[in-house]
Amino acid sequence: ACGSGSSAGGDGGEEVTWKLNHIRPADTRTDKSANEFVTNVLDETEGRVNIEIYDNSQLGDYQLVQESVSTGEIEMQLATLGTNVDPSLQVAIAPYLVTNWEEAKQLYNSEDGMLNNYLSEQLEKQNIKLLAVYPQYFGSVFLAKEALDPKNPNVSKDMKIRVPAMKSFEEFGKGIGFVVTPLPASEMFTSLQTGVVDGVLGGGTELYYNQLSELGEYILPINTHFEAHYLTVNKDKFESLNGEDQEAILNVAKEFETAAFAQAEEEQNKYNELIEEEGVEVIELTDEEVKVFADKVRKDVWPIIESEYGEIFDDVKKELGI
Amino acid sequence: MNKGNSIYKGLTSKLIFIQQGLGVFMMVMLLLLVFVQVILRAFNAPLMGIEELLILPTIWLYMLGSANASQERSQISVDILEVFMKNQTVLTIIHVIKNIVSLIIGIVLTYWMFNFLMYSFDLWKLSPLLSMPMFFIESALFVGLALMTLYTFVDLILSLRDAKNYFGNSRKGGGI
Amino acid sequence: MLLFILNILLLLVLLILGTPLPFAFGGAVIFMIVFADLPIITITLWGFNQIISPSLLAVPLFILFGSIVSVSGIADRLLQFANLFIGKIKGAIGAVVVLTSGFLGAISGSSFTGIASVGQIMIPRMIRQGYSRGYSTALVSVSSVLGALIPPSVMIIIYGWATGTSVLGSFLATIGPGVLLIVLFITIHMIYTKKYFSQGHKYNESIDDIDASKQMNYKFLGEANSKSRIFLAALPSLLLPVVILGGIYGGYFTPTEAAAVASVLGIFIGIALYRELKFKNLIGLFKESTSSVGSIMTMIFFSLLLAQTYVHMRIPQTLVEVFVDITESKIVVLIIVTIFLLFVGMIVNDTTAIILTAPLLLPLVVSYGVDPIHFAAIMAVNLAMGGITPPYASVLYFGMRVGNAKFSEVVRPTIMFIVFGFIPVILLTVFFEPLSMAIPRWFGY
Ligand code: NA
Ligand code: NA
Repeated sequence: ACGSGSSAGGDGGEEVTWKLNHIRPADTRTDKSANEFVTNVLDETEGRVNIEIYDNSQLGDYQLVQESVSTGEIEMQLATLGTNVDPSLQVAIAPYLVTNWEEAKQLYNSEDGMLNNYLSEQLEKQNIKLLAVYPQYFGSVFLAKEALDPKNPNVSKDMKIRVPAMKSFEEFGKGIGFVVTPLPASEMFTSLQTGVVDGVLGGGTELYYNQLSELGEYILPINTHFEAHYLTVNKDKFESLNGEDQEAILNVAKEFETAAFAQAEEEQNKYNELIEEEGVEVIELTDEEVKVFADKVRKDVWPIIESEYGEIFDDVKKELGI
Repeated sequence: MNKGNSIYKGLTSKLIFIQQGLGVFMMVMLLLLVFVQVILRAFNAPLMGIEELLILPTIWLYMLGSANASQERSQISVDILEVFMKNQTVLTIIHVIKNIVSLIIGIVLTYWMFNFLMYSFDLWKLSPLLSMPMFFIESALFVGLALMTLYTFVDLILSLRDAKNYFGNSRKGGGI
Repeated sequence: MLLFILNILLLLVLLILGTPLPFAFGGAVIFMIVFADLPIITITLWGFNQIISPSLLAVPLFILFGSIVSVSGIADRLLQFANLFIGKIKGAIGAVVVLTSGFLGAISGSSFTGIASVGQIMIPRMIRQGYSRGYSTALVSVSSVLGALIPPSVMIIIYGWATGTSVLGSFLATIGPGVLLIVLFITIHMIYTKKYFSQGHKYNESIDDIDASKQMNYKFLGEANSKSRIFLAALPSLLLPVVILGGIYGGYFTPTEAAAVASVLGIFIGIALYRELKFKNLIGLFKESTSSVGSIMTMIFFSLLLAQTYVHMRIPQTLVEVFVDITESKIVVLIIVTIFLLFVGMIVNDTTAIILTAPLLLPLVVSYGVDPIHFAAIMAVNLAMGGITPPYASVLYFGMRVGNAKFSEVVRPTIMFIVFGFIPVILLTVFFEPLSMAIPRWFGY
């Protein structure tokens, strides 16, 4: 395999070989979707755009590869948004920004989603083009032992849980009654296993199923945040293609996003069932009960964390009628 | 020549002193930070961001420590030739070649790390929790490599001098 | 693939030339970046992110702890203690060496702690008892390898971290092979002792106690007899593995934290209890540790970069494909991998070997159905032995320096320990799964 260089092509213009990094293991839904995307792009561009997939963060974690996509050293990524260059991108995973699939589609879709527009504009400043959103799941809480009155966010749970090292999630965890320990995702397993923490916040059931299920007792599916991956490409590399190929890629990306929204909810339910088979009980919650969490966080936690995101938060509130 | 030597020695001894002192400081910081976090956690009061803060002494310890090792010539290497090769002439030549190769590699790596330094400076990333500028962390790579290369250069000069003495003497010996 | 092979050759040349390891790996990285046109900043950033990872911090902290153990008097107390049990039997001194090395293995992370502390005390004593300098040095060196094998082990920490395998599970997998090695070493030593002294070498039975003055600083014990004093003096050291391994498995600390806690305890024991460590030495100790930490970590950094260039070139996948074409047999693959690891162990040290080969080999053996935890044990025994197999036999060379022995003197006894000690253990670890896997399975891994 040659590197990112391009060689002179046959008929329809320049042939290029690109690298695409994604952060899920081989043969997962994400990996299959990525492969499908790559195959379709190859077809639709008549072989001119050849994309090589590196699964499971082989080229680096998403923050790092986003930097590389920005410089063009790596062309594409399908992953969570890196926020170390532009912390305002954290708005995409703000707790209870959206609480159900309807709201998620409304805000995040590439056609006219207001949040999608915002993310596109911000990414463009990093020389990155946002091609599509790939919804993963709504976040849940993973518990290694029974929590006090788990359905009630107003009770202290007297339990230490891991949160991602972000102010928003620390405040969020505290806001729903937990003692929080910020830890990187890589430390989740060990810290649960060694009892440093008794639970994990910041992921979704799929993640917990794949990495932690043997350590857990309960899943609290309270739709903590909307987790999506974003299909991005280096802007210059994309624009160096001829118009026809650009158009083809955009079309394939659109199909990719539509299909992903259709699969995501089903996928989330699938993982809830799978993790139950592993002996982790998924606590049943009605939409009303989830809303109690959402309302509490929007009322008590948002005022503390709003300043992290800038003006976009006000626009979101307006859009959602809050 | 002698005067130049002593100025050089004065400068390097200061450099070495700073480098070693900072290295020890980083190691002590590292040990204390990890230890303090264990204690705090035992009392259910872990300090936010200690893991992130740790990065700073960690990377500087590694790079300064490696510079120390280069200066003391205690870098790990495969000294198979020194164990098995008895021919002093060949050893002397190989020693010079090794130092030339090391110096070239060191220069290229230092140049890359300089580019990396510039990249880091332009991007000016902040760490997520404490908002430390990553530049102060990522710059350790350049500083470490530059120092390692500097000491490799000194080694090359010394090995050339050894070679000159060795071949000078043996030619003399052969002539008589 | 051609570039990969050329790259390995270049690396070999650089190593044999004696290039310092960070530069040898750095040179190989330059070759790959230039000829395979790889993204250099991406790879540098990747390596940077890896090297600052909190779980890798266990490595420098265990190196520091190893130096503390060597100078704080911990090893002396342990040796005295072991000597209590097997004092007068002919050849007992060798068992003391092996057992103490094994015990030190349960607190230190690598092979070097054992040589520095046990070697300095025991090699002269073995020589006084009538053993040859070469044999004494070889015994101490091969026993020190237990430090890398018995948990906690820096090599395993890196393996777990580089491959995403459970470190705790992998630790457990090395206990079986480690204990078997102890048994075999003692057996070999006893048989050798019997033969050696029946061939006319003179055995000197009366040997003074191991530096009796070092039982002191327990003046408050006044009347207690010598045996209980030795026990009490050794007690703090005997408790260290309880703190380290108990702490890790009891869920109190991560391996990184265990190393930090052990270091602080070791300094405390050395200064306050044994009074052998002085503040002045402490600065020197830290200074020396910065050099060893720096040289090892930059070497790891550049071997990480090199390993990552292979990932960009998709070498691991290619390797799997090549093997799948060759054979379907798990046994054949394990044989090839083991021979390969023996070879790797001859030319590089254990930590770099893990970084370079684990990401290449694990996908391969896993595709043939090998458990990653089992593979941890396989890699650990092979690469731990690498410390005493020339040409790059860092542990043996260090032992030769401590024991003041020549290569020609140590080579025969070392080969004896390899053939009758290591090789059987390696074969059993590879082909008799329960040896390594019984304990992890029992703990639910
Ligand atoms: Na050990
Ligand atoms: Na070796």
